[in-house]
Amino acid sequence: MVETRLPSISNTESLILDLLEDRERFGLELVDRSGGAVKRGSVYVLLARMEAKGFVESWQEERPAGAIGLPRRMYRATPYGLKVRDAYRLLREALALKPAEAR
Amino acid sequence: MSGDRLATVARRVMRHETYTLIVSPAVADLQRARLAGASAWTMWRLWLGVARAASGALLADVAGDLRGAMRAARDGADRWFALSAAGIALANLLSYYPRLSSVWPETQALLLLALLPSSAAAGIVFGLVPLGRSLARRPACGRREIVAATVVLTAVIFLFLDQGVWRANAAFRAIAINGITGGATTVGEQMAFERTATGSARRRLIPFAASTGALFLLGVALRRRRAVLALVAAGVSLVLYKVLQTPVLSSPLREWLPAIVLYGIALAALARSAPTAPARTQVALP
Repeated sequence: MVETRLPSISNTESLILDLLEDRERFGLELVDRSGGAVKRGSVYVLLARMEAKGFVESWQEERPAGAIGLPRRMYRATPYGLKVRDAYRLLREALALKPAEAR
Repeated sequence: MSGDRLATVARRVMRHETYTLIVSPAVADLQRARLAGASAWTMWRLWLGVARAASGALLADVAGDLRGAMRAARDGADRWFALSAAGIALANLLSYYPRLSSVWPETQALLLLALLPSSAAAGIVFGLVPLGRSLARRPACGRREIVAATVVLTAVIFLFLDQGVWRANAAFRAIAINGITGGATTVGEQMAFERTATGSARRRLIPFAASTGALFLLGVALRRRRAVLALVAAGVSLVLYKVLQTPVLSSPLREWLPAIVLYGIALAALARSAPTAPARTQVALP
């Protein structure tokens, strides 16, 4: 029997998926939009971990020839990441019910 | 442009994916903010974020290297390592065997007491380099195991240096004193000499315990052909030893600081360790 492991997602990861749901963004933009929930020092590590989990995908932006500096990395939520987020949201809501309400 | 030098160094030192996914995006965002005319205060905060991301990435990189080493150990590493560990344990047991001197002639027993623990302690410390090399064959392993192995190795070295070596040295000196004086020294004189001599020896030796982790890392780094990492590990080991010898630190602090630092790092790593990420297509969600 093949052992299956449930994916895990934190509140911060859910928030990032919310921000990436409608459009692609870069790291600092996520920091600014999160209202302080995502820190500058941890956003890239967080995004790398989410990419390893398959929650987001990333690519380097296209830049005109002669542009200076490193190209930005853009991020977008994957359908799998959004599914996991929605499933956990449902789970959290279900578990947040009081016993009397759950009947 | 600002950040270019950091990016160049990171590209050489870190793994490709670490550089691509963490350091490069952080530096790129920083550079774009500068081009957009961010204030000095904003730039300072951005630099702080980049520094945190880069240092975290470097730590994750090193942990990844060590992880591979320890997985090899778990999978049944080297029979030579097992034999060496058994030999060292036996030598240690023999050195503490209280009736050894009644079984063997006294001078030979004392000589054994003097030589075996000293050589075993030195062997463990310097044997960590080849041990790290031999264990660094596998690509991945759990961070907790790395930390656990480092803690255990350090504890073993610390016990050897704190208990075994100075006792053995004391026994060796007892032979020397009796040889020089023809057995004419009093017990009180011998005890006074021991207090001075062993105190000095312990101060010199105990800081070596903290370099255990650095030496282990050095072995791993050499195996992976990561020259910069190896130099850093060797430098950390050397600097740690030298710093702990300076008279600036008080004697108790000098003796315990290595252990405090190392165990602090170990606890921090344990606290930060996270479960392995699942594969992306393992579960079909509704």
